[in-house]
Amino acid sequence: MTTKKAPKKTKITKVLIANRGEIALRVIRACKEMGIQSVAVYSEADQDALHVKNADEAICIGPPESAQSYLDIDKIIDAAKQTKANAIHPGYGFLSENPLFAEACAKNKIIFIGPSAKAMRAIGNKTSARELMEKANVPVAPGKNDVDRKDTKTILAEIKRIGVPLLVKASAGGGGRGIRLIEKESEALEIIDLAANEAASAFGDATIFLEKFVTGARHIEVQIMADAYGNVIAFGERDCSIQRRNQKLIEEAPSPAVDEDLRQAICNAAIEAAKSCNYENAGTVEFLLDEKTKQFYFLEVNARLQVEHPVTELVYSVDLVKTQLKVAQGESLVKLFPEQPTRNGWAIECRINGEDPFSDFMPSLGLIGNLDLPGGPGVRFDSMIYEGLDVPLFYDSLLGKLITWGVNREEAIVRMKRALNELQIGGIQTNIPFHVELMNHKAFVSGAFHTNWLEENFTMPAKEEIKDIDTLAALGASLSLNSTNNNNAHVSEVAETNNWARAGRIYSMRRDFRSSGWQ
Amino acid sequence: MAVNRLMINNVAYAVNVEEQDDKLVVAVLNVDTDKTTTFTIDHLVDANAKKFTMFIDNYATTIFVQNTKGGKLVTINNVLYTVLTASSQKKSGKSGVSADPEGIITAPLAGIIAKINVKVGDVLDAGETACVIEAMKMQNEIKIPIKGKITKLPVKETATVDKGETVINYDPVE
Repeated sequence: MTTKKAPKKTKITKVLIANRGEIALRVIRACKEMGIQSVAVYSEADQDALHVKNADEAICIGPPESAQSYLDIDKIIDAAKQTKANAIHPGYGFLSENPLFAEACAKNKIIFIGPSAKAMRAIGNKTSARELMEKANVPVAPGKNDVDRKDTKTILAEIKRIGVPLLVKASAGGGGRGIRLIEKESEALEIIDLAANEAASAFGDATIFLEKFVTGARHIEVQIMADAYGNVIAFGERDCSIQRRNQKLIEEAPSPAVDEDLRQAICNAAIEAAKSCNYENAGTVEFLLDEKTKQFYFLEVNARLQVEHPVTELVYSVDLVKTQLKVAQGESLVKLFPEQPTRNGWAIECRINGEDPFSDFMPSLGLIGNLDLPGGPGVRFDSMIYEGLDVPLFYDSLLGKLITWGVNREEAIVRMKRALNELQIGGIQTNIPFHVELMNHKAFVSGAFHTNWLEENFTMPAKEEIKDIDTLAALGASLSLNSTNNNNAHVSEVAETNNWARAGRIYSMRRDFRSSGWQ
Repeated sequence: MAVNRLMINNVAYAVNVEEQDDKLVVAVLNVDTDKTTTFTIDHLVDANAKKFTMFIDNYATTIFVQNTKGGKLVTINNVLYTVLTASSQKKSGKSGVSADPEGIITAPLAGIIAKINVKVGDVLDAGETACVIEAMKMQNEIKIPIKGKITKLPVKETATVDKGETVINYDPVE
């Protein structure tokens, strides 16, 4: 490890989290464990959100539309000044990879917990990122940057050059959002238009770029952490090949397709990628891996914490968010990690989304009337939900992340099946039944899959195929009708014929009280 | 106890619950297939008419029920069912792919009208996109099920729509 420039240490005393949902809560938890004050910001649609309840202070920054709240730099900086927060954690999505935001923080003497605006620009701009990677001997995939959607002539020429299938991606996008596949040249212009509109609405920036779609490849990414002195550590790889419409659904660490030699090579490439742009703080270097040739291509650097960071945390016994805060206040990785962190066991994450897997994963919104949480050894649930929360429709569909750890992949999978069964969400349709199917799927269990595997080979069984469930649904509704009509007299009487049932009833009532009252 | 008549996915059910020797005997009749399923519930734990845990042969099953417009939302083992309980409901008899009656397109999900691709008078072929509804940052293309001429646009761009709200009116074209 090398040392550069004199250390500039400013102790972080209060962090404003410029985000919402489970990630805002994740950062608040890290702050609490470090004795740092936390400030939540929220839109009018989020006043009942968990991050608002859990932060030390909370400030409303505007209407539900992201552009007027979570994407409004001025409002967030104002909130930080008003609460005297001396650092801002951007989470993922929203403003996390916006160099203007990092600059606004610097201008107002607020520590931005993430890379510098300069590093963001260097890797955020896909042309300069490619040049940087080539110089650093990191292999890249073919593509076309800075597409002007009105310049149809250039677009069509580039599509011919790169060749279909290819992807249209939002330059400001991340986490799989704002990506569309072009399979035929004839449909290219229409898809590019749609992608640009989606990018504008989701990220406040309509800029898009094209990239060759490598079929049958795995998505492998390396977690890196860099300090202010030029030290970079790689915390191994994650495999995020289970995707639907370029949206990651399941992630795991390590990858079933990476052996020790390949791991070394990919981690070294990731470290070189980070060094090439003087990267600081947590980041992820994404690669596509052709499993047959063991060849990997640089995709992009995600200049932020990732949704799937917990799988790395579990196998490396590291708290990445706390490390982010420590590095941001000028601590050295050499001191934080005197020895290269070692890996232990296997971790899997299922993204629990408010999406209906029986109906083409259409968003499913509304009131979460029931929530039974999973628990036991090796289970972690990072979420934004609680009983009684009405999930707002303005933001993405991620409700939470269920993560399990096991001594090996087999145990992590078995544990995930158990935890998925324990987690019961009532009132909206989630994608939990999809995850249950997948954990039982031969190809997933064997580890033989790639980024197109899910869409090409997996079909969700129909709801009707689940035995007797419609009958039970009818029964449930009927019990509810009778129960309401008869003021519970009938069922209560039956329920309390023995002590077990009585105890169960008292327990249920307590749960209900808790969810409506002081949770 | 009265028999409850319910509707799930256009299929009618009749449910009869009776108390016998401290147990509940339930008969669920699927009117379409004329098949009756019976259960004997040994114990029933009822939390505020919302959450029912049934013990059948020592095996516990939990059913969660929540009110919704015209019926109940029932969740069993993370699978959600909409059960219509309103007495005014009529059975359509049709079980086609599109739930919409001919001549209207309703929003399949709650969201914001991101784009209207048509104007009154336009003629669209079956499967063409009429408008785009955005929810949770995803754009969902709403397509016309059959060839039709647009007659009315009851909602405007940027408007918020509920699931089931009419977004397009059209006349079928042969």
